Amino acid sequence: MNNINNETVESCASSAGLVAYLYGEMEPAVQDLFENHLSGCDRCTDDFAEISFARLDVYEWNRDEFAPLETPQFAIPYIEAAVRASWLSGLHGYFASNREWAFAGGAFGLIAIIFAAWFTFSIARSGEISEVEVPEIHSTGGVPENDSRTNFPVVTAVNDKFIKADNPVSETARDKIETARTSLRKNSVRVAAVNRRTLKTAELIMNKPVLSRRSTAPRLNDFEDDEDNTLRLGDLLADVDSRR
Amino acid sequence: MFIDLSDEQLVELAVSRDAEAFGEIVKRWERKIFALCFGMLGREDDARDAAQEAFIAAYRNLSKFRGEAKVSSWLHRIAVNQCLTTKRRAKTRSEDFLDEDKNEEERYFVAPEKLSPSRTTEANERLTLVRQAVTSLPSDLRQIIVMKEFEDMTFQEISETLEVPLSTVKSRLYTALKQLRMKLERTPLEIT
Repeated sequence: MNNINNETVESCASSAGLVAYLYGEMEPAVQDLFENHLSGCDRCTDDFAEISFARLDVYEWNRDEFAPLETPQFAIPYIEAAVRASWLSGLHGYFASNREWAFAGGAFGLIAIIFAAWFTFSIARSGEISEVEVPEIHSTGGVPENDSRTNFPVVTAVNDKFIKADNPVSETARDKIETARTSLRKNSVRVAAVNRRTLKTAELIMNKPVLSRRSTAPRLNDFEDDEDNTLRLGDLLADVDSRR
Repeated sequence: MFIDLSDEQLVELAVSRDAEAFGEIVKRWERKIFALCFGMLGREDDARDAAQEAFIAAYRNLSKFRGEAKVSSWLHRIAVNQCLTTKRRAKTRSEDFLDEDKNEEERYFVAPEKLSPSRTTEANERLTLVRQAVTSLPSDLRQIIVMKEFEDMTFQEISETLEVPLSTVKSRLYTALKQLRMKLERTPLEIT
């Protein structure tokens, strides 16, 4: 008498034994005994055939309808939030467990803040220098001595860039600059004071050019706003009288 | 022609060397014998070979059928013996296709054969009937069917999940399969 799921082999197998054999979950030793019994028992064979037939239907249903489908991916919001939180908490846990790395990271951040502050301060200082009023402009010549009239630094123009000069301004150079500035101012005032119509009228009267014409065409904005360049009869009479 | 004849009458005709009568027997029983072989061997291709061998053996031994048992039992016994022979042969040859360590997915999911349009229609109708039959089962039995067949859980896992004894799981599954069998037996598509 052999035991198959609490029943004897010589008697028929229980329903539990049949199902266990059908799904291959019967112990190997018991399975051999059951197979010997099955080959000679019509009742067990028919019983087993019936459940096998039903099982095949379910198996084919699963195979044809569900097995080809891919496993769906479910996106659950609170799970994703938990994953994100776990990422941050993991980072926090890493630094909490490695104090050396946490100290190094903090020091690096402090140095970065100090460097950023210094860089910002440097930019601000360079802006102040560029906005300083430039009293003296030296395109050529020696380095001028320190200007006693102001306390502003002396800047030399080189290729449209201003370079701060530490050397003092010399007396001779200052005189040269003053002379050049005066001459430039006179010429510009003269040119700006003469109106084109005035010039044309004067040339007609005097039959010779009063001033040399400009080689280039005059520009629309080539005048000073505070000057009144309209033709006056007094000016013409004055010119005629002077010519006489 | 043979639709109205019983299995026993068909066997009598087949014994008298009526090949068409035996063809009708095969037509009636091929799916059931295949199901039995699949239940014993666990692989579709092995089950198909074993079923074919079983029918050949039945044809050769027609003269030994004496009518004491039902034709179904006679065919079942031939099929069981054929499956046992296949298993012993495999064990002797140490073939790996029935090895217990074989991948379970490979064991269960084999691509279905190409079917003719009429067979495909029949198969689809049968799937509909099976779906209806499973759906109509009581929830506790349907639950076991789903966990075993679709989730591929072991009896032990089902027992732990449902917190019921192992023997209860097995007996519920047996009952579920029996009820399915009865529900599907009433359908006209049983004979394929």
